[in-house]
Amino acid sequence: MLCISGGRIKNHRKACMDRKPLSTVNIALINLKRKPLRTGGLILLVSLFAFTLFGGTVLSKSLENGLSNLSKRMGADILAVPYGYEADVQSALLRGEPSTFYFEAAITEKIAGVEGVQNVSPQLYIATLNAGCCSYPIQLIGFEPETDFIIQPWMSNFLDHPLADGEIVIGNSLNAQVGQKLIFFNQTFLIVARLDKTGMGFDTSVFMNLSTAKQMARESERMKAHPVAENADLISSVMVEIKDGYDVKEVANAILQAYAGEGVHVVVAKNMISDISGSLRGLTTYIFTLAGVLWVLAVGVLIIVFAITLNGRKREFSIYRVLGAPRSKLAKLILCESSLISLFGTVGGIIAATLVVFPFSTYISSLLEYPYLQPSYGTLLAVAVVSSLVSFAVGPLASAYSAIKIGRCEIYTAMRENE
Amino acid sequence: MMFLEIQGLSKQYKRGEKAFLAVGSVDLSIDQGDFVSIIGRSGSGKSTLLNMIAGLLTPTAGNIKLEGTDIHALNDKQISELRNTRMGYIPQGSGVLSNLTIFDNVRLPYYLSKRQGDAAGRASFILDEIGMSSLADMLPAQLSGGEIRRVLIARALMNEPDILIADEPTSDLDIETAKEIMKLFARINKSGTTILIVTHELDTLEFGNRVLSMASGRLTEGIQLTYN
Amino acid sequence: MKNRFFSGMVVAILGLLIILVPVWIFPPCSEVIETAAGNMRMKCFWSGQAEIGIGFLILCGGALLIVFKSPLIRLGLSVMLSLIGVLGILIPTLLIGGCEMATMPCRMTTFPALIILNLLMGGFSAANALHLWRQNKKP
Repeated sequence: MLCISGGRIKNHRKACMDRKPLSTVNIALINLKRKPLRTGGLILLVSLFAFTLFGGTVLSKSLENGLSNLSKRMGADILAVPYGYEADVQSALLRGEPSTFYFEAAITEKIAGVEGVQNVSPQLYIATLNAGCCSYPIQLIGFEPETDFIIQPWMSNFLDHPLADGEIVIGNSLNAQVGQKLIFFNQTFLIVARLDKTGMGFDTSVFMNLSTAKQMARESERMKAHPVAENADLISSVMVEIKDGYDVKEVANAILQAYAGEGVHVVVAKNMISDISGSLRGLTTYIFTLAGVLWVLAVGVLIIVFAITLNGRKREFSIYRVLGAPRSKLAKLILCESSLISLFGTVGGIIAATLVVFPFSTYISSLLEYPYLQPSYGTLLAVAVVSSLVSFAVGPLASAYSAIKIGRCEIYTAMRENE
Repeated sequence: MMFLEIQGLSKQYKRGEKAFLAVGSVDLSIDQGDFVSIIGRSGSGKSTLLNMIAGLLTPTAGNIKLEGTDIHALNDKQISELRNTRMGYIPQGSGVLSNLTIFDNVRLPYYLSKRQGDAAGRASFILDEIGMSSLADMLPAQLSGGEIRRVLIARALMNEPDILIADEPTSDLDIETAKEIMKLFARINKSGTTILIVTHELDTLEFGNRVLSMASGRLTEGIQLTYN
Repeated sequence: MKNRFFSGMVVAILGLLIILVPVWIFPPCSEVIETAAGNMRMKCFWSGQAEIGIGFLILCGGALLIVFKSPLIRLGLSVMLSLIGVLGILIPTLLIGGCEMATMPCRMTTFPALIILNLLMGGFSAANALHLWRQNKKP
């Protein structure tokens, strides 16, 4: 049983060559294209969710990573600083904000004598007014290589000799290489090492031994008076490591009780970290609550839109059934439409988040004022995959009920809808 | 064995509290190659009968056998396959998909089944045969009523059905166009396809080889010009 | 008509944003900075200036895409715009550049924004060119 004329089949190859085959996906695409505004609106909704979920998760993981890095390699249990400058040492450590606070260097030995103290190492902070590589003030940190347990563990290349005069170690964000020379206050210094990325203020700091730092302070006097130039026995802070078995709070109190009168105050590293951790938890909760709300919104809106629009397309779907499409095929078609919306929305949202979170990561880190260290590529990929799956699920979930319901309608009744 | 056998077919609806019998205990046998027209007034139950035969409406009682197969005993997948491969259904009014081009509308049945072959070639051929090739890339909204009806016939022929079922194929058409549509049906019937149409227009009856009348849910042989 | 207006508007808006980034949204450093070692000329300022010029070119390109009906002219315009996008990316990265330190405003905000906008504009124009070319091929 063939053609109407009963004659031979004509060759229609040429006319058919440009025809794309009909498939569930092609039909779904055609249906979506015919209603561009509605389709665009739904895709935008899903992409908004995908953007928030992926972007927010990367943000949250980067903050977690920065904090974990900080607490792992903090080194010091207690930081002794001049009274009134507790917040400044946090700025210097976390954000590399150039700081200038000082007290007598003799305090180092005094603190070393407090019970429970294992190691002490002084640090000297000097802010530059310029640098050859950089146009804004940066933090110069003088430290004692012999006693230091804070900075040297971060170095990415091994130094086979103690840091000599005129030699510097640079933070990871400074665009210079080991072996290169930098000029500060018209003095040339040789870069001998570079730190790993810390996500903290160290990334934009330059490190040198104490005598070089004091020399730097004297040179800077040409522009502006510097306390260290007047008095070479000044330091900014003392890093304290306590002995095993001692309570850090008790040792901190002991230092405070003994030397508060000399203008010394203490910052317990764990407290600083747990304060940051608490704030981060709050931020993370906010991000994921927002993502959760958007997910519910997206699913809710899609359910409503699909229910209304599919109800209005009963006659259209009945035609498919009349032509021999089983219920499963109809459900496939509907799910395909919603999946395409989800897919485009997910891809769009993830790409948009990628274009914001990664190129602007330094800016975001500076705005957040917390340690910010992007996780490994493996973690980022895992986050992308999970975010994509959760986001993609929105469409099929929202249309599942409607897809099943439409298939259960009596075909003849559905055909006569809107007559 | 007859090609299509219907025994004791009934369809009852509920209108509020009252039961309403749309089709009452119909018996019908159709031979392969027959061109059967069922005529009746609006509300006589002819469309209900037709749609039960096409498997689109579940009867309250009775059975419909297509070459021995009771179609309403089949599951959804089986009856859908039957409708796709063995029946060509032409619904009343515009039964085309407005989002697809004429060409895609015609070749759609092929993709709903698991057939292998050149669907595009066959669709192109059928459109050519009914004189609609030039309109292949247009959307249904750009076509007239008569052209849409031809497209529906072309679509129904796509999978080489054993039987073509048409629900009021000439309604809303002028006399000339209606005649052309009926001539097309006659050509299709000549090539061996069984045709079953319902109509309320007497002018269409001359093209078939058998006429039945439907009135108040009951089917009788021949034309009944007065109705009880 | 729809394609003309839509494509032209998208390109014009992106061009306008490229102008606004160095001017107002994320301005780079000023032309010269006073330092202890003397005045330092800031390359990023000149990158920003060049991008303003490029943005203006793109804005005009977007307007022309709306004005011209001929698909071939629009195809040519789209090809040129996608190449301008490449230039817009090369200016802050290779041709002129900017500050060295990652925490400088130009590196943190100005250049990432400009690179992304030029990438989007260039990609969109290339896609538009492809679409117009395919349409032109059809009988």
